[in-house]
Amino acid sequence: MVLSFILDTLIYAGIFGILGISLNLEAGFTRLTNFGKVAFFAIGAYTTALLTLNGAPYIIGLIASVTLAAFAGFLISLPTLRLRADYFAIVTVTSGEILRVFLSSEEWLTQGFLGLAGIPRPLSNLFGENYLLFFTLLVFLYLFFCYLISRRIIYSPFGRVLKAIREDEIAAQSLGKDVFSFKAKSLIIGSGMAGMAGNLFAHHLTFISPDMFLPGITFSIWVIVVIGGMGNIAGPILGALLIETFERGMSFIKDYIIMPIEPLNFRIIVIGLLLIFFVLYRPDGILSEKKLEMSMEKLQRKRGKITD
Amino acid sequence: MGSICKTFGGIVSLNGVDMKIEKNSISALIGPNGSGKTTLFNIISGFFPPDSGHVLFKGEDITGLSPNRIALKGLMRTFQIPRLFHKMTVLENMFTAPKNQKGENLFHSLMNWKEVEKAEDQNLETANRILELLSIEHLANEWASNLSGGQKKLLELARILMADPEVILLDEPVAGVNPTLSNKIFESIIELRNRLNKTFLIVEHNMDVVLNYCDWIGVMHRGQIFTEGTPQEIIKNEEVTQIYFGVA
Amino acid sequence: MEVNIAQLIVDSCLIGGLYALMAVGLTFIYRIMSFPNFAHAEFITFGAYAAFFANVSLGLGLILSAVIAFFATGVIVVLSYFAIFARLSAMGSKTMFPMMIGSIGLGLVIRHIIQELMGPRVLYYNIEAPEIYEFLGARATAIDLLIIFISIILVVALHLLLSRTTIGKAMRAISDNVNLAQVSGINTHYVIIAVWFLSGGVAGFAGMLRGLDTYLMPLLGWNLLLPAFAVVILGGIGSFYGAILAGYMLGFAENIGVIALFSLNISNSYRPAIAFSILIIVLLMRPQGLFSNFKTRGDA
Repeated sequence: MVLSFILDTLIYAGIFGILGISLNLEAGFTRLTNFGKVAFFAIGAYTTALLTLNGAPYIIGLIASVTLAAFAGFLISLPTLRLRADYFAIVTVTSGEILRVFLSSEEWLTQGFLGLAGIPRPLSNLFGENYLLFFTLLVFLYLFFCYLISRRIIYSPFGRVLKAIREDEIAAQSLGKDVFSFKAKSLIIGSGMAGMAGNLFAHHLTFISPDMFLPGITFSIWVIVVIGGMGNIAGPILGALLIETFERGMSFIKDYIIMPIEPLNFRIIVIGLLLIFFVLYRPDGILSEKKLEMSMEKLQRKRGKITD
Repeated sequence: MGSICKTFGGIVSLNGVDMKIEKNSISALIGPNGSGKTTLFNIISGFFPPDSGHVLFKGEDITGLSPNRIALKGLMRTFQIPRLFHKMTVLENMFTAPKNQKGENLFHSLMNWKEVEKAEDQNLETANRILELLSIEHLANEWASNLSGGQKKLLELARILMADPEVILLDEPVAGVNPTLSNKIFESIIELRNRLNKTFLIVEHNMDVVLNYCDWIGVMHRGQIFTEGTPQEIIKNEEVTQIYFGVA
Repeated sequence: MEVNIAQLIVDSCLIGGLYALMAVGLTFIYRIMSFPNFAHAEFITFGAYAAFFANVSLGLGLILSAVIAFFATGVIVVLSYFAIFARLSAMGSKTMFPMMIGSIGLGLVIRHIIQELMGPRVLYYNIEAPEIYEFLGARATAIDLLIIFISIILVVALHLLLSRTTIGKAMRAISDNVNLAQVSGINTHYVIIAVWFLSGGVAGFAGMLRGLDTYLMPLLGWNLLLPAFAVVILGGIGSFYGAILAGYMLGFAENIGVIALFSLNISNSYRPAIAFSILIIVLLMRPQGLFSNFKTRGDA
């Protein structure tokens, strides 16, 4: 019982870790104030649900989740990326709401409020009783993959341009960088990752409905990134572990302790307070951005190694 | 007459500017604050469209192109208040400069790491050379935000040198820099012009360096090029001193 | 297709007035503090519930409840300003981002405290069944008419405040240019507090009107966030008259749009898409809105 609670928490931490990494890439490194993450998350979830419920193999669902979410990121980037940060925030948050309206209304596709149930679990026949353990490992595999990708991106010249855009768009332009193109790529990758997270979410819960994709999720992801440290690659993972342990812990505890406050409200109030607190007192989060140390000695050492 | 820029007309701050810059020259724009020098820079480099007039670069009309396209064509500028990347180190700032780096392409940075590494090593050598030239190599791993005002100016200069454009617009490159270093910088500018065929257009208030190192000086006043000529001609021009030191 | 124009006008004036009032506070804060206040939606919700408390729990009449809604929300908003936004504003430049995030956090806290204290279910004010009037083919309840007229009265009152009183003129001065206002001797510190108070008060009042028009639920304000921003952007950030005009324009656009949706057999729940489309179109074509003239692209 306790084990399944722990695994469930780890799965949520993993899923939100992926979401956090994706937001960190967009907001922490490129300064794209994306307040509509939940939309791409939902697209990933619904895509895989619809495909696998209709007989498609899991791998197709996965590819479709990521691709469709990334494509949605591309679509939204076209009209919105040239906007100022605050307009971008407003447009993304409202896009998320419109998507939710779409998901609730188009019943022929999504069953509206009834949601989609019975989403198959990949390889469930192989693992039977130990399925939860397998799925946890699967989630962490994806998380690790996303972590590596984001790490590679950040330490690359591409990532450097993203940071430059974050620091001073105008200077970046004056050096010849096509700011729009870089921002779009950042958003597309972030959206694709969010789709991946949505895929895992759908297969874990085996039931999804539009009410699971409220803006609260986007804000939870923001808390994760702000607390973990915007601009640190591992920050979102730490943030996700902390927040999801708290959230899952609350749902767990309410069965055993009588709380004076409804757990749902308590959770969200705490998240709101955390956001306020961190933004006032610890805007850099827990883990800070690291310097990229480069030096001639390092270069010479490397050269020395190569010529041996 | 290789790389030319010619603009005329403009926003209220520019009132009919007609200017030709000779290729390989070191030209300067001087004038009191508010005479429109930085606005001119903005228009030439694409950050502001002019109300009327054209900017021609190497025979091509670049008016209204986006700043990054113009930069890629070989015309870059620095800023009066240095625009550095604060949460990046000095070296990282330098590394953003080279154009068309393979690693900036997403595909290559994910797949072609070996080549990217080689390019990065190359960058490191070039960057260190430039930093040594400007005597700030000891700051290589500092956060850019920790630099002093003068050091920031030097870093901006170093970064644009690393970007290696053909035509370089410098907005007050030695403001806040001590005279010895200023001279050293301008001597490097001359060397760059001689050896690498670069063209410089400089906005400056420091009359010493302007008179000593520049081939052509344009004096701006109230949005127009009031007068122009070689340093010798300008020194003799009484109206110039009046603009600078008197009431005009 | 038959369209009941009179009904259209009545409905549009009703919701238009609400939208206008909701946007006024938001647009001022946006302009003066330079950030979109995502907690504004919850100010609206708070006012509605404060009025409910006065009306249902304390048994007070509607007028008194409205006054309480106005002042209670105003006070809460000013407290929030001191606790959060004043401090963030003092932390140097580039404060828009932390203030946005802070406002989201604040919104979450307010909404869920309300939900905790008042429950998640739908609530209604304590009023007798209103009379229904019919004229020129339109039907409206006494409450509807009350809302329409009170909105207009409040708009006029605000207009008088802004143009005739010292504090109002000071508010407009700050709205135009904070530094200039400061230099010309206006005590910007106090005026900003007054703007926050007014912003909250009007929002709370509008929330009560909304609750009268429909019903109360914790998401009352949040569901109005999109139209509120659409109105602010359309009207031009910081423009009182822009917000009023845009509010009524959106009201009409939505009601016309609903008719269009109906004739195209599209579900009514797509109503928010109308405000959304207006928002996007304005941002793409004329980001400064109808009545504004400041920079809208980056920080050139």
